[in-house]
Amino acid sequence: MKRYIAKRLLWLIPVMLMISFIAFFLMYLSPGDPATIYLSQGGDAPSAEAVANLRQELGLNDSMWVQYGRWLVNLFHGDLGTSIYTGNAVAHEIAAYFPNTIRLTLLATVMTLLLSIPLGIICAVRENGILDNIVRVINFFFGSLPGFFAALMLIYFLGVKLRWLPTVSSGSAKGIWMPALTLTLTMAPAYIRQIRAAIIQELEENYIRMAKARGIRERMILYHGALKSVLPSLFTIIGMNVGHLLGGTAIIEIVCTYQGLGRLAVNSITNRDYPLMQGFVLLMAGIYVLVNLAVDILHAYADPRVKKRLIAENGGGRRYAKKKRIL
Amino acid sequence: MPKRRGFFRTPKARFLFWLAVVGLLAVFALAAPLFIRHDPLEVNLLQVTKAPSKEYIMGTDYIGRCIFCRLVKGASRSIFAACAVVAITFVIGTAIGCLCGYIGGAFDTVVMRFVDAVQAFPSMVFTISVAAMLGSGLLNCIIAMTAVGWTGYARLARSQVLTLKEKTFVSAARISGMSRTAILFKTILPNSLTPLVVSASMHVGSAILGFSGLSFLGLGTAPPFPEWGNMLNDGKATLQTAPWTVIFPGLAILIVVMIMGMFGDSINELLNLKKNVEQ
Repeated sequence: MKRYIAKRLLWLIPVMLMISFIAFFLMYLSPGDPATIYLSQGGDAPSAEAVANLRQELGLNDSMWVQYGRWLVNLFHGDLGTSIYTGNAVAHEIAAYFPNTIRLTLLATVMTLLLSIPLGIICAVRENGILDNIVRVINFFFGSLPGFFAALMLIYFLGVKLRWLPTVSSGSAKGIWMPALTLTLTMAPAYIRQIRAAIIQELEENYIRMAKARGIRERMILYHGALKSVLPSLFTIIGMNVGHLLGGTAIIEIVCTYQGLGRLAVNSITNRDYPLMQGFVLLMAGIYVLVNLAVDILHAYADPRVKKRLIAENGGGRRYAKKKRIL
Repeated sequence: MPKRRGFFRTPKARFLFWLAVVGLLAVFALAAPLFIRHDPLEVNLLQVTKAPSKEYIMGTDYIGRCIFCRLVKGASRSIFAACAVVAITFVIGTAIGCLCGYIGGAFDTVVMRFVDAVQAFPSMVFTISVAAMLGSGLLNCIIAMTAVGWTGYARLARSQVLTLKEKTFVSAARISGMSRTAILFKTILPNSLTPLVVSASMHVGSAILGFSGLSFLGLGTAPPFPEWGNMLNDGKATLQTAPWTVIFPGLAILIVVMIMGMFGDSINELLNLKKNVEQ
């Protein structure tokens, strides 16, 4: 198992390098000269001489690889560059908004799990029952709903009509509920579908059939067999959906005026603030890769079958190796 | 699946029904100029945020433009851009994936590692950033969505080719002296298409969602030209006083995505059924 984790951690290095290169390349290719953009902020067109000087100073005349190398070295020092729009360090700007986004995504994930685990279980156990069919239709509806439309409708009904929640999320403690609720509604269909499918698959396993043949009560089989062994795959399901969550929050934060990273990033598009945009992309990709790594490892630890398979594939793990020899 | 009665009994009938619905939708989008009574770009400051009435059946927006006309006019752009994205990603992804699987070697390794790197980004974040770097515009949105979308097809096509390559009918073709290109196009490609077509049909709905998301963020067609996403963005400010500015474009996206979802499901059912019968 240690060998597997070590392998995955080593694999992170080339992946992170590729990510950093793509993030750099996107900015490198972007239209507009950063020096000109920076100097034109006051409104006047900068002189050619000033632009040339700044280009020299910022090292924009060097080759792409030299610039990439320098940028990467700065990155290791935690320096993501300076925001063109505000003039503050990008790392500083991101750090200010990051906690809000983390809070929102965690709350939304917890709410989604609270909603979709029971529903997924009931739908799987009573497959094609009344509730399963109702949930399927509702799922299809919410799965087709654009996140920003869902957010606007919630703002209209919960905020404007019923006045339960503030229509603008920034600056109030209750503000987080509107975007969290929207994310929950748009994410739950995928979670319910995947949890339901995982349980149905588990119920077709041989050990369940065996337990049924031995006359063990359905409820016992469910609680002590199927559900217990399916819960670890929740980690995988979370990993599958985290990409959608990270992208979805960006748009929903804009609609709900929630002070998070997504809002910062989308505003940076309008301001053509490329360094900030780049920092955001880099951070999101980093989180995505790390969450997926953590999820895979946790899944292996929680489900002995997966652990066994991974050990067999990667070598190591004396305990399992020994057993194999005896058999 | 619960038992169904009447016309919907067979997968083929279901497929034809949804095909007809999608066809109608396309005709509706193309014939748009015929049923609109107002110019979708015409600003009328005397008719600002009017509720739905006989004259303006879906009301007017914050500068008095007819929402129904804009919706109908925007339909072609919103739907066809998504279809274009799916078509382009399907062709590029399949071609690259097939080549990777068939040629193998260094080419395969390099391309697949690149695919890994692109897929290491959350897809919407990557699309938004590519679109942002390229600047707003319909074509740039299509490029941004293509840049991410092809990787899924490439991976799927590659895995298909890798399994098919080992099949006996491919060996038979090789022994009977078919050229390498002929083997790829006449034996491997036709057999690998089913899962790719199914995944493309499922992709249309999510492409419309992604596309309207970009357009909502202001990365799509520049205003005043209507697109469903930017209509929602325009309506956002008048949500409290004139909810119809948001509800109708939103419903349009929702309904079209649902139709595309149903269509994709029916294709899936039809093609997988065929496969089961063959086996």
